[in-house]
Amino acid sequence: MPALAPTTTTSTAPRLKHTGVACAHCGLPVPAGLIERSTDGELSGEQFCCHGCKTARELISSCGLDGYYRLLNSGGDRAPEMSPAAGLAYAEMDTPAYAALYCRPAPGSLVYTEFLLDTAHCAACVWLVEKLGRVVPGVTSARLDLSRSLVHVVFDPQRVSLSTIARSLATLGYPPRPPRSGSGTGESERRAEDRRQLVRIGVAGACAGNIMLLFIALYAGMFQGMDAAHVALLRWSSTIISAVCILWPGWVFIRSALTAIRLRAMHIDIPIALGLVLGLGWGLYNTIVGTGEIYFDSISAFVFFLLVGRFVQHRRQRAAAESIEALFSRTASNARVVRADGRVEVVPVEGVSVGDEVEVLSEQSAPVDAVLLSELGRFDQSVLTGESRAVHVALGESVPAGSVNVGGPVRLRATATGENTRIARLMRTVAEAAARRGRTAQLADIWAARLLAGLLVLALITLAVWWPTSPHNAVQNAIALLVVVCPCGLGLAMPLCTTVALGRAARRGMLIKGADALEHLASARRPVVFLDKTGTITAGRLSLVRFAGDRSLAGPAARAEETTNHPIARALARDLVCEHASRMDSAGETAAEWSVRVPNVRTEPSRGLFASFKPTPAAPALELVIGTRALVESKGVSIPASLIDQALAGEREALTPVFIAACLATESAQPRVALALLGDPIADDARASVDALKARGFRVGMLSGDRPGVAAAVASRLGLDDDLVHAGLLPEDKASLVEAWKTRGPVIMVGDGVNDASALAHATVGIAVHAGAEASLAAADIALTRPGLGPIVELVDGSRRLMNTVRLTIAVSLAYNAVAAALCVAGQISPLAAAIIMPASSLSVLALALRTRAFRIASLRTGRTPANPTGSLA
Amino acid sequence: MTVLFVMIPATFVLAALAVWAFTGAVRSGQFDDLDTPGVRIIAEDDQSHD
Repeated sequence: MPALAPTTTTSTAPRLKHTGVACAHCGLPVPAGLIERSTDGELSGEQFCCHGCKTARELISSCGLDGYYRLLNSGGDRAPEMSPAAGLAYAEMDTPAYAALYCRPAPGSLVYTEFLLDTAHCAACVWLVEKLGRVVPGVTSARLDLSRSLVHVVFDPQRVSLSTIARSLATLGYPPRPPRSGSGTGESERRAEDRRQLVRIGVAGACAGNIMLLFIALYAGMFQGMDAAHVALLRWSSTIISAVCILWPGWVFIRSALTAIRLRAMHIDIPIALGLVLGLGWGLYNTIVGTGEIYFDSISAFVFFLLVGRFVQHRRQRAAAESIEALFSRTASNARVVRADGRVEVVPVEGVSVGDEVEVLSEQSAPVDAVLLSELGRFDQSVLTGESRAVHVALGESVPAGSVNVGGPVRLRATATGENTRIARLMRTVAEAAARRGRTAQLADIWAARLLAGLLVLALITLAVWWPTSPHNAVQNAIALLVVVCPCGLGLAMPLCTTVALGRAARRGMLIKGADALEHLASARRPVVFLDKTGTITAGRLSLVRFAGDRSLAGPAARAEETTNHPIARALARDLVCEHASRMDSAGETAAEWSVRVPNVRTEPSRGLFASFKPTPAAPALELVIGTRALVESKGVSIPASLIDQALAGEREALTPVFIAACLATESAQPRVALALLGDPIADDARASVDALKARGFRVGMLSGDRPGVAAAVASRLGLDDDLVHAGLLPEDKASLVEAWKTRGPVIMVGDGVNDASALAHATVGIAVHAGAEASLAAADIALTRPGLGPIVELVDGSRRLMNTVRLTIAVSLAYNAVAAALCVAGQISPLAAAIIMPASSLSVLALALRTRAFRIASLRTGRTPANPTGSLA
Repeated sequence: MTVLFVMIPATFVLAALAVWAFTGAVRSGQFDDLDTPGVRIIAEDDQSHD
C-alpha cells in the first residue's frame, strides 16, 4: 500500500477535502464521494481517485509488475496523473499513411517506431515502459530515452497493432504521441552528424593525449639531454599523430575557413585554421630537417578543446530546440473522414484529400481548409485572427484549417490540404524569412577579425626585426606567433558562456534556440518590443475576473455550468470551483460536495440556464437560475442595485456580466443573488513588466488582431505608446509592420498564435510565450514555458549579463594572447611556454563562464518540489 | 631505452585498434543516450530478464 503522498494542488484542480485516503495508484487523496466502504464502514479494497488510476493498477498487477510501486516509493516519485487522453482509440496509427511517416522496418520482419511520452520522468517509468513486452504480447523491445522522452518500440505487426500498443501505454499512464511531423530522414541525418562529431572528439582527444605524453618526454630531454635517435623517434611519432589529428578531426576548421574565405566573410575559424595548418606544415618541415621547434602538442590540444566547446554548445542549443518541439500541440494530428458509405474513418491529417467530407467534433480543430456542409457552424478562429469571439459560419462558407469548432459537430468538404492550406502557406513565409536571416556576425567573429589583422601585422614586424640577425629564427618566430597566439580562448569563450547560460535559462523555463538571439537582446540600440494581445498580454480565454454577492452560490453554479458546453459555461465551471471551493454554503457544504450532485438542467440558448438540485429526496429542491439580467428577473428575482451597478461598471471594462440567483423551493425562501464578471484578464505582471522594459531602454508597443476598442483599452492599462499600438491586424499586416520598424532599429516580437508566426520570423528576435501555437514556437528564437510577461524582463537581464561575461572572457583570453605574442616577437617563446599558456587561458575562460551571473538562480529555493520536479513556476 | 623503438610503434597499433573500436561503438548508437542507462541500472532489480 503506497504511503500517503503530500497533498498537492495544481492551478486547475480543485482543492479536495483531505479525506486521509490515498489512491492506490497515484497516491493523491481520494475525493470523499469516491471512497468505497463496506457495510460496516471500513474501507473495502483498494481505493482510487479516478477510473484511470483503477484501470492502470489492474493492468500493472495483472502483468505482475507491482515492482513499479516499490520503485516509485524508493525514488520519491509519483505515478503520472491520468489524463483524458487515456480514452483515445489511436485508430489513426494503424493506417498506411501513419506507417509511412513514423515506422521503419526492423530485422526479422518486425517494425520499429518511436513515441513521445510526455509523462515519463523517473526510474520507475523507465522500468515500467521497458517492460511493455509483458503488458502487450507482440512487442519485442521497448527502450526509453528519458532525457528526450522518447520510447523506441520494436514489435511484430502480425501479432499486435500500433493502436493496441498506444492504448496500453495510455492505460498505464503514458499517453503516446508521434515524435515529430514527418520525422524520418531529418532525424537520422541529425543522429549521423552527432555521431560523426563524437568520433572526431574521441580521435582528437586520443591524439592530443598521446602527443602530450610524447612531449613530456621531449621536454624532459630538453633539460636533461637525450640522444638524437630518441629525439628523432619522438618527433616523428608526434608528427604522424599530429597529422592525423589536424587532417581528420581538425579538418572541419579548415573546411569552414575555406568556405568563409570563398564567401569573403570573416569567421573565427580562419585564424584557427591558419594556426593549425602552419603549425603542422612548419613542424613537419622541422622534423624532416631535424632542427627547430615543433608545436604539435599545442595545436592538437586546440583541436580537441575547440571541438568539445562547439559540441557542448551545439547540443545545448539542440536540446532547447527539441524542448520547444515537444511543446507542440498535444493531440495527434488526425482527421475524421466520412467515406461514401457513411462510415467515419480516422486517418492522419496527411491522408485527407481535396473533396473529402470531413467531420469535425466539438472542441476539435478543422484539419484542412474546407467549406461548411452543415447548416450552421461556430468556430473560434483566434489561431489565425487573434480574436477570441466565435465566428458564425453559414452553409457554403469557408473554414480555414486550424479553426476550432465551438459548436456542435459539423461536416465540411475539404478544399485545400497539407501544403496548400492557409496555415501552411503562412508557415512557408515563416521558413523563408528565417532562411533569409542567415547567420549574423557574432561578437567572437568580430574579435577574431581584429586578432587576425593584428597577428599578420605583428608577424611581418617579427620577420622584419629578426631577419637581419637570422632568417631562420625570423621565420620560426613569425610562425610561432601565428600558431601559439591561436585564438583558442576566443573560440571557447562564446560556446562555454552560452552553454552555461542557455542551460540555466532552460531550467527557468526559457528555451533559447541560439545564442545570437541573446546577443541581439543585449546589445540592441533603441529597441522596440511589440506584444501580441490575445494570449500574450491576456490569458487568451474567457475567465472569471470578479465575483460579487453571495459566495455560497459558487458551488451549485459551477456544477450546473459543467453540464453545458458554452465558453461562458466552461469558464464559470472552471473558475468558480477554483476560487470558492473551500467556502461553505449555508448548509455547511463545500463546492466539492456539490460536484458529485446531479442537477436537472434546462438551457435557454444565448440567455442562460435553469437548474434544480435535490440533495436528498426528502429535502426541498434548490432552484438555480444563471444568465442575463433579463432571464434572472423573469423568474421574479429582484437584483440588488449594488450588483447592477457593478455589472454596468464591468461592461464599461468590456467584461460580460452573468447573474446567479438561487432559492430553496419552499414558500418563504428568500433568493440569494450573486454576480460573476467574465473577461479575458490581463496577466498580473503585465504592467510591471512593461514598466521594467521601459526602464531598460525599450519602447513597448502592441500588435493585435482584435477590435481597436478592446486593444486601446488594454494598451492604456499598460501604458504603451500610442504610435506603437496597432489593432485589427491580419497576420500579414503584423509581419509588414515588423519589417517597417526594423529599418529604424532592432524589433523584438512577442506572440503566441499562428497569426503571430510570420511577425515572429521577421523580427530581429522572436519570442513565443507560454502555451503558444506550434507555428509560433517553430518561428520564434525563444520559447517561454512560464506564463506572464515577467520572463521577458528576465531574458533581457540575463542576456545583458551573458554578454558582459562573454566580453570579459574575450578580454582575458586576449590578454593571454598578448603575453604569448610579446614572447614570440621577443624570440623567447618555446613549445613549453606555449603548452602552459594555452591551457591556462582555456581554464580561465571556463572558470569565468561557469561563474557568469546570467540567468543565475538567486537562492537555493528554486521552486522544486516532488510534485514539480522541474521547478517550473507554472 | 632502445625498447622505445618497439613500444612506440606498438602503441600506434593499439591506438588504431582503440579508435576503430570507439568509432564502431559510436556508429552503432551506444553513445546516443548517456542519461537513461544510469537510471535503468537503479531500476534493474527484479529477477526475470526479458
